[in-house]
Amino acid sequence: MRYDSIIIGAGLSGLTCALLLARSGRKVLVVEQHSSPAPVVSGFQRGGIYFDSGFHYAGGLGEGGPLQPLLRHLGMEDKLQTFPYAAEGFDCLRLSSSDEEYALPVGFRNIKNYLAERFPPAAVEIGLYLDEIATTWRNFPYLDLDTDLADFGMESVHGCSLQERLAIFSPWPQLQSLLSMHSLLYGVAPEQAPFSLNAQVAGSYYHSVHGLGGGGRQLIQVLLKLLKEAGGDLQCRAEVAQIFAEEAVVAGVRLQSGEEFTAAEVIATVNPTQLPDLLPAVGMRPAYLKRLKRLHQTPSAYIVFARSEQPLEFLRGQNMFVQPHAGVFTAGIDRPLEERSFYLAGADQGRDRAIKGLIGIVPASYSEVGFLNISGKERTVEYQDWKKDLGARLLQIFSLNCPQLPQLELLDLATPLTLRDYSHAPQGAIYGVGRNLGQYNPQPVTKLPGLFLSGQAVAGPGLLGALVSGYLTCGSILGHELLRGELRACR
Amino acid sequence: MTEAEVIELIDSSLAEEFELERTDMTPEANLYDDLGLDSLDTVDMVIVLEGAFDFKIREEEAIRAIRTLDDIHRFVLSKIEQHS
Repeated sequence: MRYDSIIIGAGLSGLTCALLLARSGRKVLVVEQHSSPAPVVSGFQRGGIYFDSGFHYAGGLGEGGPLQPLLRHLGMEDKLQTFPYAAEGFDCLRLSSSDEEYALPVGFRNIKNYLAERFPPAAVEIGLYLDEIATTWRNFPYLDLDTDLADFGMESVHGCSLQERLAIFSPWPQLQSLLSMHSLLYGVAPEQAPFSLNAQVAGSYYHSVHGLGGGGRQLIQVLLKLLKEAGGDLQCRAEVAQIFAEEAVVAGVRLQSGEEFTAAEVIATVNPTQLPDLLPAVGMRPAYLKRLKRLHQTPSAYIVFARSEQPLEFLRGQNMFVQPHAGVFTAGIDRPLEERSFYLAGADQGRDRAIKGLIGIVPASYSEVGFLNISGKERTVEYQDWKKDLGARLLQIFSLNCPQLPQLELLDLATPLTLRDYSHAPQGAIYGVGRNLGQYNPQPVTKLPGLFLSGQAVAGPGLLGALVSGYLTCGSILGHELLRGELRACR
Repeated sequence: MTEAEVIELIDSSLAEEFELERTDMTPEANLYDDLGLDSLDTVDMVIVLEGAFDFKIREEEAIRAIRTLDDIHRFVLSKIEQHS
């Protein structure tokens, strides 16, 4: 079957690319190896509760935020029901050893006032710090629609780290915790994380914070409907074995099943470290292939899904970031579970009924499940038992460190193996390839004509990162100035 | 490392990582017109040099100005001189 464009991967980036290209008049096919599209973002139903597993909350969706023109341009805005997070505290930091709690309000000015009130001697520096984020967080193509594309620098490779930038606040470790906790949302440790990356991600939440009615599942359903209307095709259970080329130009993909689809453009949203194994023998420099192979993966995680008889109202429009001690954020994946930081969110908040589901995320290393030696998708009884024990232990840790939590019943637990098999990321990397200082992440354009990359490694994490990566990639194909012009008209 | 050794390490690293013919790699060879590199290769060139000489390259302007193989030699030699 012949297509104009084939997109590998039906995640958020892949579906965004597919929609933009289908609307441009191309005949588009999305191939997804899983049995259903967007297995990470779509979430799942358990015990009568919808749980999100990929999407939790979005930054930058408020008035004047960069998500608005993107969703409007894609035609998604009026099909999504959004609701604002708690203005007086969208993210709560709990320092469990000292029993202290802080709640970050929404908006740069509110955050500035709140922090200046809590840490008066640091007020001037806090002001400068937040002003810096407010003026730089959109320094990225498609977050800023006005700056010339050639003028975006290499801050995320050569700039200073979040940890270095926070050194000035070392007399106030609680403040350092508050300003670094969002590193959990991109999976790079503060000593490795470019300050500009933290500004981009945390800044989007400082700007505005929203949830989506129906969560990630609704997001994907809207995208799939729009893609169908635009004439795009989707094929699941379609794992790509090879991207093939003819006369050093991309010609299509061959599936594991042997089936072939030809196309003049192939967009791979796979984890970039996996791309070399899919490529034809010619067309790429050894230096480029080595670079892809060496990209740093973000850590993995355990994700607990639990049910409560009592409503979890303290999590309505507010997440909890729990850290054992104050100081610059450390995920603590090299420490026992009891000493790690974790994140709690209420499940399925977008409706007028009590929150009964809890999502808890604890950073983890793949090596913790390495002993289970499970290479395929089959799970052993040993694994199921281990999971049950681990889930119980994690719930106990949550209760000990967060006394507001009522009695909880474990419904399910995702481990690094689960993340590996659903996201297809090596070692279950929760955000795939991260953006580490000194690392050159791949660009959408490759040396092989017709082959493009997209996904969070190309831009950033989250809904915003995924959409921006889709626009970056499609801009490389359709013309950046065309897309940016259309987006400017959607502001 | 002598100047000749530095130049040899640059040339051999680039030859291997970009699959270049050593016979084409004269000092005056233009990277783009003669050796077939393009702007997409620049980042990988930087990474190859960082790996070969164990330093970080942050001189975006200087890298953008590089045209010939000899420009690379001069750039690396001056970096080494600054470090010593």
